[in-house]
Amino acid sequence: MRKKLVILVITIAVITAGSILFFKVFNKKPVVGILISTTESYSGERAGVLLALKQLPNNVEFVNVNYADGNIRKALEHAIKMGVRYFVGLDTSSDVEKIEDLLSKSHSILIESQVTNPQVVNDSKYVYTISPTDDIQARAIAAYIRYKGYRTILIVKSASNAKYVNYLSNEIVKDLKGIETKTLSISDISSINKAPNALVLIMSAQESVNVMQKIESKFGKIPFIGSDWSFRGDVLMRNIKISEGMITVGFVNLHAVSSAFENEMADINLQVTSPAILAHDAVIVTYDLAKNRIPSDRVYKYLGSHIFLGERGNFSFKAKSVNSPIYFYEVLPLNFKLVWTFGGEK
Amino acid sequence: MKPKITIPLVLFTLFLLMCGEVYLNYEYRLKDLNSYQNSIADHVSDNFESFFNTLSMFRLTPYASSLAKEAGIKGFALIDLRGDVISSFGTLNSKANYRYSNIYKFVSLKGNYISLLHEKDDLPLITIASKTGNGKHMAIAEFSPIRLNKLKNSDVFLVDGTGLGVSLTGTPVWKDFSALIAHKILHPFVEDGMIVNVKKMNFDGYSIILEKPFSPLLLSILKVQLIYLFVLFAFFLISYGLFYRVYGKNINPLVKFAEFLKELDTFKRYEVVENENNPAIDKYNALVDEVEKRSREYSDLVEDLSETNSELTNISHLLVEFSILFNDVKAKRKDLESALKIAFRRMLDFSRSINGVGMKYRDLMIHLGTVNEFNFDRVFDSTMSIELKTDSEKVKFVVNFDKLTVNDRLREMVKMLLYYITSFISMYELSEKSSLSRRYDPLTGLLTRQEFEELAIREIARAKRENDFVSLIMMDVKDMKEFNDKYGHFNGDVLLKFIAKAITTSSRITDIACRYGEDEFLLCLTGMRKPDAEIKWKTITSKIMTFKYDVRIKYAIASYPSDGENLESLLVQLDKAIKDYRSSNS
Repeated sequence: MRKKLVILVITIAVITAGSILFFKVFNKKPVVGILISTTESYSGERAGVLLALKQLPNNVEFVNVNYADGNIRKALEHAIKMGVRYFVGLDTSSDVEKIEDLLSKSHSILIESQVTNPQVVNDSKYVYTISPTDDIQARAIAAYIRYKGYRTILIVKSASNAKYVNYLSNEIVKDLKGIETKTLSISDISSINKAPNALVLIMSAQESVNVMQKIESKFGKIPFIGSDWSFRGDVLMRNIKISEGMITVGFVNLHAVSSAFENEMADINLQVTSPAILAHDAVIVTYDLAKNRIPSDRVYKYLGSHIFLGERGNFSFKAKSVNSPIYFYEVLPLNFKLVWTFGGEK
Repeated sequence: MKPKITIPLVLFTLFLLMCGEVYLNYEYRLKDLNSYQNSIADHVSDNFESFFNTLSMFRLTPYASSLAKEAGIKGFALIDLRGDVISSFGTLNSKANYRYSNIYKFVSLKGNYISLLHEKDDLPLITIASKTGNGKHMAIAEFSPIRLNKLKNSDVFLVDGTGLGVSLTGTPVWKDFSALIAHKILHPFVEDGMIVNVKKMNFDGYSIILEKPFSPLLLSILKVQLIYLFVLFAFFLISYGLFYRVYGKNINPLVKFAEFLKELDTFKRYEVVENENNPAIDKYNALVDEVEKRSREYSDLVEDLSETNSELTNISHLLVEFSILFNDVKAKRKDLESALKIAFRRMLDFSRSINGVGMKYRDLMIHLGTVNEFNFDRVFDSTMSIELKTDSEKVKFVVNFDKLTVNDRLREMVKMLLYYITSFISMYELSEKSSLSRRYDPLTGLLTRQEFEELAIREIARAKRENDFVSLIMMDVKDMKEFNDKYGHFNGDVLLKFIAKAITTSSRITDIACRYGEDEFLLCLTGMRKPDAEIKWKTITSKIMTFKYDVRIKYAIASYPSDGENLESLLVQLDKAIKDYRSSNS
C-alpha cells in the first residue's frame, strides 16, 4: 500500500515537472529586446515604440534592454545570455559598431530605426535598418541642391556622432561634383567670410538652430538644408523665428500618418516626427521576424520578399535597408511642408 | 482511527493550511504594497498639483519669481500670447519664442501641459505650463519630481507616457519601462525575481512603478508562518495525546480485534496493548504461535531433506568416481596406493566437516589433513576410528571431524565410504591371489603348464634367432597311484614337492621348470645340447633318489633343433618317448 502511494506521488511529481518543463521550453514565446539608451533624449522614438507595442498582439514578449552612457555592450551581453535573439534598436551608428561582434557570435538580429551609415549596416550580417542609408540621403541632398541650382555650398558638420557626420558629408561632396563645396566643423563657423548659396547642416536640431542663428546674424537669411538628424519637431518649432524656411530631410511622409497615431502622440503632448514613425515601424518588423521565428540566415531573404504595413504605409526592404523615398520638408510655423521627394519605388 | 493514517493526514492538512496562509499573507503584503504605492502616487500627484497651484498663483501675481523659487521650481518663464518671453529665471532663462512650440500648442488645446521626463545637470525635470488667470499669458515652470525616503528592498519609479522612468528614491536612476506599461497590466506580477506593480496616474500618461524582490518577501512570510504552524502542530499533538488517553482506553478490545481481523492479509499475531487482554485474543495468539512453530519445524525438515538430498547426490557422484578409480587399479593403470590417496582426497573434499583421513593396511600408511602418522592411533572427541576386515587382512581407518558441524548423517555416510573402500581392497586381494594361482602350481611352487608353454615358446624363438640350442627334459613319477595307495596322499604330495625342489636347486636361473601333469614335470634348459641335458638329468635324478621312500622316475629328452623345430613337435616327441616306457631307475 505504502509502496503504491510512493510510486503514485513520484509519478505525479514527474508528470508535473515534465509538464512545467514542456510548457516552459516548448511553449516559450519568442522574445524581442528593446535596445535603447536611457541617457539620450529619444522621447519621440520611445513614443513610437510604445504605440507599436500597444497595438501588437501578445504572442511575442518584449523586454527592455536599458543602457546608459554608451555602455551598450554590457546590456546586450546580458540580454543575449538570457536568450534574447531579436532586437529592435534606437541607437547611433557608433553604438552599433561596438556590438557587431556580439550579434555575430550569438546570431542575433538587430533592426535599427535610425542607423543610416551603410558601412555599419553592410559590414554586419545581422544588422538591418528601417531608414534609407546615408549614401542615398547624400544623393538626395545633392539632387535637391542641383534642383535648386545652388552653385556654392557649405557643409557644416557636428563634432559628435563622427561616423555618421563624416560619412554623410563626404558622400555629399562626392555627389556634388562641379559645384563649389566646402566642409567645416561646427566649431569653425566663425571663420566663414562669404555667404554660400546654401548651407547643409549635418548635426542635431539644437545645434542646427544655434548655427543658423549665428549665420543669420552675420549674413542674413540663407537657405539651410538639414540632414535627418536635425529633424526634431519640438526644437525647431520652439525656435521657429530662426528655423522658419529651413529644409530638413525626413524618411517618412508625415502627411500619410494616421490620425489615431497622431492623437495618441498628442495624448502625451508630442508631435508626430519622422524618428517616432521609424521607431514604430522597426518594432513592427522585429515583431514579425520574432513571431515567425525566422533564423538569422533567412532574415535577409525574408525581409527582401515581404511587404510590411507600418505607420508610414506599406514598405519593403531592398538589401539591408528600407527602400523608401527621401522627403524634403520646409519648416513653417505650426507644421512642416513637403516640398520635394527623391527616389523610392512608387 | 489509526495513528499511522492520522499523522500523515494531519500533516497534509497542515501543509494545505500553510499554503493557504502563505497565499493569504502574500495577498495581504501585496495589498500593503499597493496601498503604499497608492500613497506614493497620491503624494506625487499632490506634488504635481502643488506646482500647478503655484502656476495659478502666478495668474494673480505674474512677476512673483521669488515665490516660484520657494516652491522648488527650477526654472520659470512667463510668455505672452505671441510666444515671447516676458520674464524668466533658472533653467528656463532664455529668450526663445514659444509660439510654435509643443508647450504653446498643447496649452492652447488642453489648457495646461505636462512634458515628458527629461534631464538637465543630472537632475530629472518635468515642464508644466498653464494659462494665467487673466488669460493673456502663459506660465511655464520646470521642476524636479519629489524625492522619497529609501524603502527597504524596494524601488519606486516615476514613469512618463513613453515608458521612460526615473527612480524617486536614492540617486536618480533612469530606466525604460515601455515594454511593461504597453501591456496595461494593472495588478502585481513577478518578473525576473521582482514583484512589479504599475499604478497609473491622472497626468498625461504618467505612472508609478514599484519594484520589490520576490524572495525576501516570501522568506519573511514563511518565517512567520512556520512559527505559527509549529505552534499549531504542537497543539495538535498535545490534543491528540490527551484525546487518546481519555477515549482510547475505553475502546472495546474485541472491536479493535475485529478491525484487525478485517484487514488481515496474512496469519499473524495480534499485538496486545495494555488493558486489552481477552481470552479470545489469547486463544488466537496461541493458535498463531502453534502454527508458527509447526511452520518452523516443517521448514527445518524441508531444509534438512534438501541438504540430505544434496549430500546423497554428492556421495553417489563420489561412489561413481571411486568405482572408476578402482577399475583403473584392477586394470593395472594405477597402483593401489595412489588410488587410495585420491579416494581419501575426494573424501576430504566431500564435506567441510571432515578435517582429516588416514588408513593403515599391511605396511601401507596413508594420511591426509589433520591425521598423521603420529596421531594415527590417538583418539579424540571428534575422531572416528574403525578397523575393518578385508578378505585376508585387516585395515584401520581414522577420520577426524569438525566437532561443531559434524552430524550423525555425515558419520554414517563416511562409514559407508570406508566400507566401500574396504570391499574394494578385498576384491583387490582376491584378484591378486587368483593371479598367482594361474602362474604357479600351488603344491610345488613351480610354474603352471600354461605359463611354461608361453615362456618355452619365447625361448625357442630366441634360440632360432640367435642360432642357439634348447633342450627339454620330461619327468614322470612311475606308478604314482600305487605310491599313494602304499604311503598315503600326504607323502605323495611331499614326494612331488621334493622332486620340484630337486629340479629348482639343480637348474640355472635361466632354466624354466613346471608341473606338466599330475605327476609329470618339464624342464626347459636354454643354450644346452642333448648330451649336456643328459648330464643335467643325472644331477637331478641323484637328488630325487635321496627321498626317504623308493621312487622310480620315467624321463625323456628332446632338443631343438635336432628333434624338432617348435615346442609342439618337441612335446609330441617327448610324450611318445614316455609312453614307450623308456625308463630310468635309480
